[in-house]
Amino acid sequence: MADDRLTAIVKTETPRVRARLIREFRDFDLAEDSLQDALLRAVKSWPVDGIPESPAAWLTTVAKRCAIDVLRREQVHHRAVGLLSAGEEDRDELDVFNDDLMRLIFTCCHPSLNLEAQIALTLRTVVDMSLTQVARAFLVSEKTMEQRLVRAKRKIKQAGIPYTVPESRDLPRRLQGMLTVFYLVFNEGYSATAGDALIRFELCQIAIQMTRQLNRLVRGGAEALSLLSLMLLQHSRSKARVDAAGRLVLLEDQDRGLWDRRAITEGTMLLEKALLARQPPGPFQL
Amino acid sequence: MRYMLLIYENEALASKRTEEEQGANFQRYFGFTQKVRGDGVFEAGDPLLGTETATTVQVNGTEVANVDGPFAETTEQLGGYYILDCETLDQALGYAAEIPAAEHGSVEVRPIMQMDA
Repeated sequence: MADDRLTAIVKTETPRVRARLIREFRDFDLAEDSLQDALLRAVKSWPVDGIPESPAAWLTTVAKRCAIDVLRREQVHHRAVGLLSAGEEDRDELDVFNDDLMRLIFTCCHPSLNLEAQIALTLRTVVDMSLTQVARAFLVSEKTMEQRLVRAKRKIKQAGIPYTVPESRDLPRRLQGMLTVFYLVFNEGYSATAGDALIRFELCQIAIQMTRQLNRLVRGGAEALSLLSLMLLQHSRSKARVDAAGRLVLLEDQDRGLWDRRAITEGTMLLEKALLARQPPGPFQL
Repeated sequence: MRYMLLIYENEALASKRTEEEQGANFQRYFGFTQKVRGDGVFEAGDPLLGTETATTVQVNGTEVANVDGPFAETTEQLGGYYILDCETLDQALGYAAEIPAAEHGSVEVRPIMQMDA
């Protein structure tokens, strides 16, 4: 089996499985440890036995077993029993995983966390960036970033920040906060202040992907549409913005053939849709 | 999870309320308390007398110092509290937004530490 395929699957499934585990365990660290155990086993067994039909469900089941082992070793029996029973109603539909991912994004972007912590936690857990990459994106040392993440995770646990999509009453306010986080992620990639060009390009794509997902959740939300449109239009020029030597190219000098026509069409269409929604325009629409 | 909702407002401004305004304010708190009781989340809640009645105690070695006034001079003062047993922080934040003082002062929401008996 091609290693590329394995890597690609691991890359797409990791955030989803992590989100699912965090929701079920209510514990970031236990989720992370058991996820890493499960990934290790996958890398060993998939090349031999083949890739399972639903890699996400496979990883979740294995991770849960690993977590139960850990809890048993720590003799926290009542929790282990709880996890076991939770495992029995295991469903592997994509929807369940995507819902969990959405919940996790809302948790990471909770207004009770400071903005930097929201972005860092989103990049680390939802986007699955490494600690090194997140630290580099913020231009701080890994140690500083690690402490920041530990503090944020501790607050989620201690203050009882929920793993849920907010009630409709709170949704508009929470969405605005979340869009701000997505936009900052996008900008981090777009304005290329430091670091690896490839990571930067990916950050933009990730921000677009997350905003897309959010758009599906809140149909017709003009602000989410506007932000997606803004990102697509800016990103459509990203291949033409830098020349072969990595220097920035000004708008009038850009090779328009490198512009992404599909992204431009989609971006324009979305903006028109947002304008038709006839809601008072928010900051992203402007 | 239990949360303490600490109610802060500017005492000087609050004391300038007319009797009518005072009554209306009291009614709103009464309504809020009724609601949290009805929702089954209420554990405790009381208004406090003003900071002019406060005494701050500090012990330095064996020396006890009782000082007139609140611990810190701030523009807003602690004026009351609620203890609510909520499912999540979001639920507690939702209640906090309904406390009248949130409109002109602030309400700080703090999770109460769990002590394993």
